[in-house]
Amino acid sequence: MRIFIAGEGSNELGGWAKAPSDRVPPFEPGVLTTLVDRVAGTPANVVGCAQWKNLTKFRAGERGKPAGKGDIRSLRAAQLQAKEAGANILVALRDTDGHADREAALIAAAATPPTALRTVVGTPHLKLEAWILACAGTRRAEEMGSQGLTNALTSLGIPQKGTAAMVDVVENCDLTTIPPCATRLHRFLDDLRAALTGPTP
Amino acid sequence: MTDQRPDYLRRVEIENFGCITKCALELSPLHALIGPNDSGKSTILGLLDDLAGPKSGDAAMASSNWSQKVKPNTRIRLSDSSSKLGVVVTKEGPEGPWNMEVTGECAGTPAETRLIHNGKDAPSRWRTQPYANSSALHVDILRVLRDGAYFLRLDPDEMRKPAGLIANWSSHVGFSPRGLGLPAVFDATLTRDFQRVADVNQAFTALFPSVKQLTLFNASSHEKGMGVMLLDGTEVKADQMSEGMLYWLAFKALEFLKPAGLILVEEPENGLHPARIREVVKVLRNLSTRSQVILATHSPLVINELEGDEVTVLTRDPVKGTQATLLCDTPNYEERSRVYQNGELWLAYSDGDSEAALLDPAVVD
Repeated sequence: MRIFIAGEGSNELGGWAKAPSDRVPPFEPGVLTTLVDRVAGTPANVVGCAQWKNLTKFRAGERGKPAGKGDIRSLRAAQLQAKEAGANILVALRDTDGHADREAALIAAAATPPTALRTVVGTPHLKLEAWILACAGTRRAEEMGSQGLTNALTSLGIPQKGTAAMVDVVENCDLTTIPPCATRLHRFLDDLRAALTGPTP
Repeated sequence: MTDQRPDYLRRVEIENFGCITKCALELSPLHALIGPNDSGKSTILGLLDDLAGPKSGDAAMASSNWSQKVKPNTRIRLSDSSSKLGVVVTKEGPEGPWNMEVTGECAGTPAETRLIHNGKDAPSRWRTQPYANSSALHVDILRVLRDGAYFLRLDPDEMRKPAGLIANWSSHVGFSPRGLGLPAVFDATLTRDFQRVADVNQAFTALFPSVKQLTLFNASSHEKGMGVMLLDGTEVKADQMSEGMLYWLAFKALEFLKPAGLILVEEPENGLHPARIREVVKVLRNLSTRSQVILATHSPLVINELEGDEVTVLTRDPVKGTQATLLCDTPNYEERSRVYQNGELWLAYSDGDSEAALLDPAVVD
């Protein structure tokens, strides 16, 4: 299975977040690549990567457009890149930053890909730290505010930009004991499992 | 409803001219050339300007363009919907005299135009200066060439300068490629047709809400200056006006002038706020209903306003020279254009060099 990944930055993408000219295999793992490896049970065959901030969005006078439209366009751009990279699956993480409309728009758009490409989108509540905490067994992480997430992460000894520490949590956690209240993370893992075990598009 | 749009250059083929070894372009009434620096955009605009003959100012630019770029075996073929024009140049050495053969064909029938020119001078005024055999060069078989061209490479400093009064309105009235003479065009138009300038003023104040009205004043006994009056009554002369205002006014002023066959514009986006670019392209699109408008641009925002068959990507291959590809003919365009607007698409796959990710079919399934 050829997988294309998309995310916010190095916490999700690890070494794939670097500019293509700076990437030197083997790439450092990120939270997203680690989750994919764990669900797949084998090292994932990642064939390409997109960072949301690098996807071209270049329009003027876009005021008053429907909520989430920009995110849908970014997702479509990532799907296009994935297809052109020869991927079968796009696995993406996008922080909600508290925008429920963004989350709804992304999930709906992922369910209707324009091409024969399976798309799995995870939407961590506010930011990725909520999922790190959930993997560490913290309850109600997806209900915390930004400061609460920071404090809880610090209490676990995980630095804010500590990709290696976050990866370590994800790598060593028991996925079956993630608190049920982490509904977004559970939905993502279920979707990812289905995508990885389903028929190849 | 009948389409009143005049005919336009549909296809231009160029061989051995400037950086171009062999290149063919399919054009539309409003068309943009994009691509890396030194890919041939300005060469093509300059060539078309030379062929149509400069209408005003800077004729030297056109003539030097031709002189420097023509080569032995330069071949140029242009066609509109029914007529074709061919120009073949042979040159005896880099500094030697060159011969030119022009052939025409109208509705499939060879036209009478066939002329050999011997000489070293550049034909900067093809239709106004007779050549050695006392016969004008009949490029007129194509309407767009018969009606001449406006070549614009606007310079705000030139547009700001007061300009000599226009005593008699004629088909030669205009402003220079860099915009010198713009206030005089507004002044002369105001005298002849107040409503047209009033309409422009209304659109102008809607776009620039801090402005109450466009103003013209006597800079001297024989010169007109331009400015604006702000809502609070402050008078602002052209040297204080924003570049965006000046560019917009210059493009609108083209509507006052005798329609040319071609309007050739270098970088219409210069000095414009991104949100104003759409308005300028609207003006250019409106102009394209009576004159073919060809742009050279580096702005994705300009390209965002155009269709895929209105944009040609130029690249310069080390061996083949300048190559032209319609944006809508690039690999996977249909799918890519569902994700991106055209300018975004260009930017998303552009590398400023070979544009391989945009043009190479190997990257697409």
